[in-house]
Amino acid sequence: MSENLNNDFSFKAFAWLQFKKNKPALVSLYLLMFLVFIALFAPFIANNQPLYMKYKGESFYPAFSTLMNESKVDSVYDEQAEAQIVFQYDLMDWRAVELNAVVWPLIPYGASTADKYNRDYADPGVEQRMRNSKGEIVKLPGRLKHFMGTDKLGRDVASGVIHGTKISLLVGLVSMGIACLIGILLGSLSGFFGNDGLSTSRIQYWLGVIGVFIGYFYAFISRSLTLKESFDSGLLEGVFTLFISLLIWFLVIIGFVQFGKLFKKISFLNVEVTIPIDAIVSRAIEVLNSLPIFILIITISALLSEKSLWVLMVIIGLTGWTGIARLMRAEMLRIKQMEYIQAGKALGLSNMRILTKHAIPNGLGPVFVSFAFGVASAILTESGLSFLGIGVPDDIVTWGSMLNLGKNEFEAWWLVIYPGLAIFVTITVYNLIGEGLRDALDPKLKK
Amino acid sequence: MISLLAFVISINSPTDPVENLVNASGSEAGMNAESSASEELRRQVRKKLGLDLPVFYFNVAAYADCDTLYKFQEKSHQENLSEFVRRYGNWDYIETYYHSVRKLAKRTSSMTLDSSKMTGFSSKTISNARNEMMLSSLSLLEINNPTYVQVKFDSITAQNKRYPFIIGIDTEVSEMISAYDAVLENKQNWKNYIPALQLNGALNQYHIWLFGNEARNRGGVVRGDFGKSYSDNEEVGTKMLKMFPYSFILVMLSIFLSYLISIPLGVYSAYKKGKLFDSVSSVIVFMLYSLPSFFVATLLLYRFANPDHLMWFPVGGVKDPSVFNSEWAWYSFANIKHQAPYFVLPLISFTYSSFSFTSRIMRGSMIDVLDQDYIRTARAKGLSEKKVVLKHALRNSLLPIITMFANVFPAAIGGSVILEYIFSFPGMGSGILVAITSIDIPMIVAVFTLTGVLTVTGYLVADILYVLVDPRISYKK
Amino acid sequence: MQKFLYFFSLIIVLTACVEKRDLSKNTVVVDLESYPDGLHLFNSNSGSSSFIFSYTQTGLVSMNSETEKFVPILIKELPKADATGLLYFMELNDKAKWDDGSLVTVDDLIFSWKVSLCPLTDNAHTRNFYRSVVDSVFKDKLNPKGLWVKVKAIHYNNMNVVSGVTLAQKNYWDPKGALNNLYFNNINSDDFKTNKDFDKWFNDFNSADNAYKPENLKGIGPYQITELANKSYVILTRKENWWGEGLNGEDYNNFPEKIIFKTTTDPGAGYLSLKREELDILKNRGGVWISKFNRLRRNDKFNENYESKYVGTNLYRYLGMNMRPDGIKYKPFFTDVKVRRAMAHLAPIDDMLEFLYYGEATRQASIVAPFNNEADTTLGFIPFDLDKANKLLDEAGWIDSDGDNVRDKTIGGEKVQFKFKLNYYSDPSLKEIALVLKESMKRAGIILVPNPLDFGTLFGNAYDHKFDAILAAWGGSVSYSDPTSVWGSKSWAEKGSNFIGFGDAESDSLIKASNTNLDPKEHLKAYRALQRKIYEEQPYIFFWSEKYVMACHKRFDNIRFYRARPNINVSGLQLNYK
Repeated sequence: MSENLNNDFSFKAFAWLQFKKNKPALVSLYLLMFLVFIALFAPFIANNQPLYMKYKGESFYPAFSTLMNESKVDSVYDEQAEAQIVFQYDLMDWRAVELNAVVWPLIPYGASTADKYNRDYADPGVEQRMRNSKGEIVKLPGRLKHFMGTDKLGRDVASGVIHGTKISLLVGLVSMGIACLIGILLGSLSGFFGNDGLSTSRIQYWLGVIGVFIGYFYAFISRSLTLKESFDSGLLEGVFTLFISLLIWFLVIIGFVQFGKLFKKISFLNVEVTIPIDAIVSRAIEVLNSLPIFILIITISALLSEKSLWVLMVIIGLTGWTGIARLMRAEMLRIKQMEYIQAGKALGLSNMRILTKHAIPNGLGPVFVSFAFGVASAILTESGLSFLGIGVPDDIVTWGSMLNLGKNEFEAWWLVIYPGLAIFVTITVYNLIGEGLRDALDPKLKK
Repeated sequence: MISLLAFVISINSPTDPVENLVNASGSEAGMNAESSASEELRRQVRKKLGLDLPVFYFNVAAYADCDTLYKFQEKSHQENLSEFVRRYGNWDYIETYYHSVRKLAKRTSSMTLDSSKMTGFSSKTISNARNEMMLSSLSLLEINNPTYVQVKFDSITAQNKRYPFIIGIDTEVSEMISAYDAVLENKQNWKNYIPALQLNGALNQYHIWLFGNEARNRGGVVRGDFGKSYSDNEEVGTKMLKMFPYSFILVMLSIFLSYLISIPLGVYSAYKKGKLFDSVSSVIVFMLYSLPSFFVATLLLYRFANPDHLMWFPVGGVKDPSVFNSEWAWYSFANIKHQAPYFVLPLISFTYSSFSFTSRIMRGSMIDVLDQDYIRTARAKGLSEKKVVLKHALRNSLLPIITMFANVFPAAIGGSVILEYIFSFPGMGSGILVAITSIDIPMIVAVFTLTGVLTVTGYLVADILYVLVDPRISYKK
Repeated sequence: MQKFLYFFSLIIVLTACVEKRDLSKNTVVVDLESYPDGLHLFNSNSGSSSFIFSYTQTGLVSMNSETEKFVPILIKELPKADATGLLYFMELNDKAKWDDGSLVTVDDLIFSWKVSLCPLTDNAHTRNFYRSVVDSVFKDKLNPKGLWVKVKAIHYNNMNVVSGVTLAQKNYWDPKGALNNLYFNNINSDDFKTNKDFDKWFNDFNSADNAYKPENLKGIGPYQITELANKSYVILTRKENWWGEGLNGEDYNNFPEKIIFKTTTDPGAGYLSLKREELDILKNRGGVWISKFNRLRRNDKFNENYESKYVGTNLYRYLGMNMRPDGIKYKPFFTDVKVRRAMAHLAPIDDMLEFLYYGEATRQASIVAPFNNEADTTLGFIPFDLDKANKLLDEAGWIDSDGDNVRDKTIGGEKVQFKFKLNYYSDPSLKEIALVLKESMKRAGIILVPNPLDFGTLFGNAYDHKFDAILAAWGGSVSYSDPTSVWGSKSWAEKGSNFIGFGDAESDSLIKASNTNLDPKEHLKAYRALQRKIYEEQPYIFFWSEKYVMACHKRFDNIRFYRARPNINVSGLQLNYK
């Protein structure tokens, strides 16, 4: 057992070594870290509030303060006017105020704040304007320039690209996270147990089947009103109630199965039957695969009465698990035959224990590969949807929604090129990492 | 199976299609049309769409539930009633209460005010009071939360008391309140916890959709009748028949082209594995693979169909009606010459990503095959390198590519929504997009069904191709 | 590598194949906003189909585009009411002939009315309107060309309705006389009685073939529909020996040989096809097209090729605020007129008009477009004024009591944040307006949540009063539009188009006065008083009446743009190509 673990460890190290040899993948990994950095620190990289400023002799940190302080209000005593000047960080146009000193973020604009003086597609190459502290309209200094241009409302494209990073990463990770959970669970169950690995007594089997329906009834039909009311009062509460419903479903099934144990004495009911879990999962995968997934996603998100980013991620996740499940199943079929699993069985460990402690951790390799590719395709799906104007709320700036604006405005090439490149780079990064992982984890290369 | 799934999705859409159809006039005619949709109109539309029937052969419900809920006119009322049942469990009482509210609503909307008692009230108060009564009673049909119901009750009784000119609704109001009290007193919540199977028989939406019904003028899907589109009343089947050929041709051409390029490329770079050509082409192919196609399509349109740059290709569509002659046969040279330019840009943007994908697969499988023992044997036999690669290796390395061919048919429907939208290509992709945004449910369901059928067809074709390519596989036993 | 070269050479060969349109042909290519929902004479009622019908059909009367007044076409003079005001008389003249050469008869007219009123026809939208006006139609006893139409009530608009019926030839549609036994008292009764013959006839009549097969799309107008291509274009061809040929007047023009209506759904593609001279006429485009068009008009080549103009319309954009929400799910934000006025002060309308519309829209103060002669032009526009808005909101009790920069108010013991949802149709140009409003409202401590919806949900919620605020537009015609459905208080309770709950006895009586006073002066007085009343109550923030973008290729002479539909005289264009 311990030797096996050692082997495993060395394989990990070996895989990492292999991965490091793959230069493009390694560069991509660094790039991904950079993207994560941008996403995490977006408010300090692109913000229309200064990082630091000195106003009327006092120091302020607007970009930080807005995050900390809910009221976003601060005040300073003006000695000349002998009055307290109250200002709200997110409403002030700091370019139009006389500041003693100021440190701007790298991109001095917010993603959704409109620059009144540079709207109607300000060209990055053309002179841009601003209003200075004296109220005059002057040429925008190079430091404050929209170097990727603006859209019709005057929203900065560079800032949109930065803040879009956050959203695309979020979409990729959350949706593939969901897909992974489902895929690993179903795939490993179906691969590990196959069609005849999981057996139970006849009565328990049939009671279990009935339990699925009865449990569904108590979890969702009887509780339909409770569910609706809790979703009405808030998303969090709704999810909590949904969770309780799922729990009820699960408990009812368990209850029915346990109830079946009482009948074990009757030999007719105690005949061993197998649960064709592999067949069930494979059919589910086939059905989902024969659906046009992109159309399915568009349909569901168009039918929703309100646009929501979170719902979109859940939909992408719920429809994207088949690949992972298939890989996991294949991996389980392979691992099942391994000596250490057989040994575990011989030692009398329970199936569940073997599955969760040994089989799944060892079979995760291909899932990582699939995860990386899946994130890329999830990002592509999200940007495609935003490009069509479906699914993402209107006040969120994403790469796809910027491209959508650009598609209608041919002259504003900057609305097409920069977000398009951002999507391209991100997808390439994930694909290269996936590629690198695949090569590194390929069992054929293990020799 | 798939059609059932699509059916389930469409049934759960929050938009009431009746509402959608009834209100459709609001857009253009606006102020001119007397657009308040009457109950009668709603009833007619419901019947026409077949929504006055149960959804499926059976449904799992609670014992307390009403089994003919679908007969109620408005979706919001149906929802409210089912929530009501969840709350109190006593359908009989709830039904009585519902009808008493309806009676009151009807009474208030046609009520005549007693003009002799109007003195002392401004005309504004009078008109407001009347409207308030009407809406309160109407909104009672849509709420079930006891606090809200009580609020409405209080306001109705208070107004009824305060304004002497409101006459003739006392009996209705008291009837309604006593009916509600009866609902509260005779709670039968236990009924909500007994599961029941409601059987609806063959007269249901799904059955009629699938098998048709003489009386309702529906042929059913089995006879090729997918119903009529909600948005323009055209037969869905006819509509799809007009759109499908374009998408199919586009996909077939693109697959053909991508195989044409990717197979030689994949073979060559596998052959030259590790050399400069291989690494350069791999990088290019990889970049192409990661380029989002809608981005490329937009750029292509901007570069090659724009008079400011290059005006090589048309902007969109598939033909120019001012040049096109409808007497041309589709296979005639004139027609092909006319329509070909319209396909170029869509074809490029459609092909490049699939081409990069296939060539990567081709390269991979070729490398695998070249490692095999029998290739070494062949080489050892002294066969020329060309013969080894092209004759022995190629055939075997084609297998993974053939698997991909199974996806051609479903891709003819769903593969190109965004691209067809960008190039205003009149194929299935843009058709389904329009259907989805206008919530044209028969069309959506039909597309899902068709995709399922085509997927199966694709598998079949792939199997046949397997036999052709790989002599080892045989279905004869 | 060679394959790549082949591929590129293939592209180049194909490029050579791109055919250019022959500009010397007498064919007009007209841009269509959206593909019609079929071209069924009675059952299709989208804007596009009615535009196409204006060339394939001829009405009893037509509106002169210059004077914006009705003139008789197929009848000797405009329908006149008798002393009771309930009976209208009209007499056919012997001008118009159907395609088979027979004259239009009174029987055709009666047949047409039967079809448009009968509940078995699939024209639910227009039928309801006609049924609310017309009671019955019958022949004159003495005059074989005379016809009486009985209406249900006196109304200022009756004349337009009575003469607005779509004409269909009885002999063509109903040669066997299946509808001879269908009587108006049955049609108009609440429990309509049908029989097998009727059912069968109407089933055939409603079938999709009559909306899509060109050979079934007969009309009495100068053009015949000859081809319908799936979702992309409709072709009309000039009829040989049309009855109106040689007659004087714009209604009898049929200069172009062919009219091709082509749909361009995408502004980008439309922009390119104008640049490439693939379109002769661009018409009735607003919203996102304005910015494209503005760009085009700065282009010399475009101006050389095209005559272009912005044409004012009777379509006005507004933000409607729910004045009578249920108070449970939809909080009473806008019940106070002060809040509504403050909202109007917070909308930077002039600014939006300037940069979203490039100044190409007309500000509007109340329900009628300012250039319409029925408008009350004394009403002033409400300016953007943050301070005033803040003051009004404070007065109304909306104060930021908890320091989170959002105003709040305690209503019925519950603290309500001023955070409302703005519903609108999911569309790029509306999205821009919503985002500008959001920014502007934020400055006054109001949170606006943009909520784009599909068409059905948007209006479904609006009719059910389930919304906080709605951004939408109303379109009217050049002639008087009955305000009842949008502003009558009953229309709110009956879930009509009065979403927001405007109206009291005073406004109702003004509407009634303006509807039923057949004397133009009295009518106008009441109508203007209503406009003022609505202006003062401020149930809507009135933005502007939009302008449509119109362009026509200069290879035609006699280009005219009108405010009235169909906005451009396509059939009057004369080719001048040398």
